[in-house]
Amino acid sequence: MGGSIMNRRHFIKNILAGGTGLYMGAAPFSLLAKEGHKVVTIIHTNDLHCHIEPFSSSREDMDGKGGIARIAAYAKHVRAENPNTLLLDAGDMFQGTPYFNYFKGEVILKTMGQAGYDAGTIGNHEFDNGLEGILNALPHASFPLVSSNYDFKDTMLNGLFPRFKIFEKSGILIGVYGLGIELKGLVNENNYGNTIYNDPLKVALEMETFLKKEMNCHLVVCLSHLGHSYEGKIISDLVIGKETSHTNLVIGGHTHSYLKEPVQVKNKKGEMVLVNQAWWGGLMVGHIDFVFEAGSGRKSSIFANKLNG
Amino acid sequence: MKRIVFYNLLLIIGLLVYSCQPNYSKVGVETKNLPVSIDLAEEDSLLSAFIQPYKDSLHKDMSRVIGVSEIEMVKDKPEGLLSNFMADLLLEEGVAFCKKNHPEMAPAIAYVNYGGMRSSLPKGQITVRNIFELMPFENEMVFVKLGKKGVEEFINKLASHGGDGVAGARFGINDGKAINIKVAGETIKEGKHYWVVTNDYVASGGDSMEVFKTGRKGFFASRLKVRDIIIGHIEKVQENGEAITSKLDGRIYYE
Repeated sequence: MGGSIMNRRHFIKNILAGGTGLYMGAAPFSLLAKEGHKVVTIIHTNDLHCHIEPFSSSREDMDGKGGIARIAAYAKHVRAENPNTLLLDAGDMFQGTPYFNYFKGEVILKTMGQAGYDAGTIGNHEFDNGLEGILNALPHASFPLVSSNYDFKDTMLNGLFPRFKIFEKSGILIGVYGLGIELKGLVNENNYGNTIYNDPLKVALEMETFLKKEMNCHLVVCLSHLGHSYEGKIISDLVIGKETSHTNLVIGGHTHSYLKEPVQVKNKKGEMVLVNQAWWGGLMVGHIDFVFEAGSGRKSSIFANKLNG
Repeated sequence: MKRIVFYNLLLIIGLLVYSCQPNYSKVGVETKNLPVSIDLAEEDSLLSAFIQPYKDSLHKDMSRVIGVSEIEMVKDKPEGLLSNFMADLLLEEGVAFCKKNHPEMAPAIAYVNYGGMRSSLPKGQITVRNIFELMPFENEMVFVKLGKKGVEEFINKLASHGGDGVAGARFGINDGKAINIKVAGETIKEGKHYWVVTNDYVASGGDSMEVFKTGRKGFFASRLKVRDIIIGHIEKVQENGEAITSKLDGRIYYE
């Protein structure tokens, strides 16, 4: 018993420190649950680029690394420990290995479905075989691709992408919206046709307000294929984190950014937002645990202060 | 009496329902970015079994030998063995395509963007896999018609890149600008038009080649994939009992 309490204290201490210290085993989840705490775990990838198999590369940091089957096993393991787990992807699933050239989007979407992905979003390389390429591949995805700022109403993809998705995990509502990058100049015009690109920040503000205020989500997650950060005023994952008020986590993609840990930025309200990206090709996964406390709506003072600090 | 009991019951039920739907507040967060290696997890056996048939059929075709190369070819600037090989190949195939289908468009120049070549070619046997690694994108062969001004702008762009993959044209680079531009051995002339064979990515302005979009005087899309053209070309050389090769010939040079 004493040991269990120690574990719990250790866990909370890590949370308070905002640190990235590892904790082992299932103990914290069950202990936290007993005391009215719940943990929502988000595992995420980006820019998988059809890297179904582990890499074979001359680069030591890549060779033998990655592979969807390994990501699937990890997600399964985490889910077994904590059923309140989501597996998400931030786009560019297509293009990069012969799996795409031979099987188009079929194998990557099927394997991601089998791996238990809960949602993804649309990256620019999803357009590589045109709108028709997306249309043909989509039936192979058993999970939704959330897209909030591409408007496909004047295309053959009309009505195929939800603007948001809400997941309920043990009473906790997690709202997910998705942002795509400007296609003009990046993707061959014939490949995106009449797709309308709406301003990502404007859409983000609209989506997060809707998810937080109208749908009462406890956690708001943005799947962004905008890219981590750029020189100048170009819209990016970091800009979304800083310029929004209710988004708690921005899962980024496109720039293949290798981050040792998520970047913390302050949002419009001065609260901490996590902006993460997990390299590319399934060589890395982001793992984020959000701890919730049941209450009458008021935030627990000690923890909330720390979080908002 | 009964009514009071009923109201009390309602109140209790109400309280129960309320307490069963607590509000949750986020009180902490813990994060880690984990490399996906054997230390993270073994491969999921169910998913591995699902992938296997796709993997088998893919690897069988990818391992097919299509030809032999006399040398290792790597891309380089201002010119390189791989860049020259690819541009020469595209010019030859572009000329052959037009001779058969559109003689009026016979290309004088071929352009293969440096960034589009994603790997090198080894010395010895060349497999389908090598070509996929070299050219993973689904680009198609297209033809763009340029005037004198357009060619100058295009070649100057190549000079500003410090060189690139080109065939049919020769030029020097001086202070980031192109000098002594020659197409098919001659200086470019006012009033004359030049067809450039390239891929649809750059033809639509990719890799900062806006001139192909804004300065074009004609355009034709072959609907043939560049990768298929490369594979077909190497197979043809092999059928003739020859090996592919490349050389540096000073087509792009520093003044």
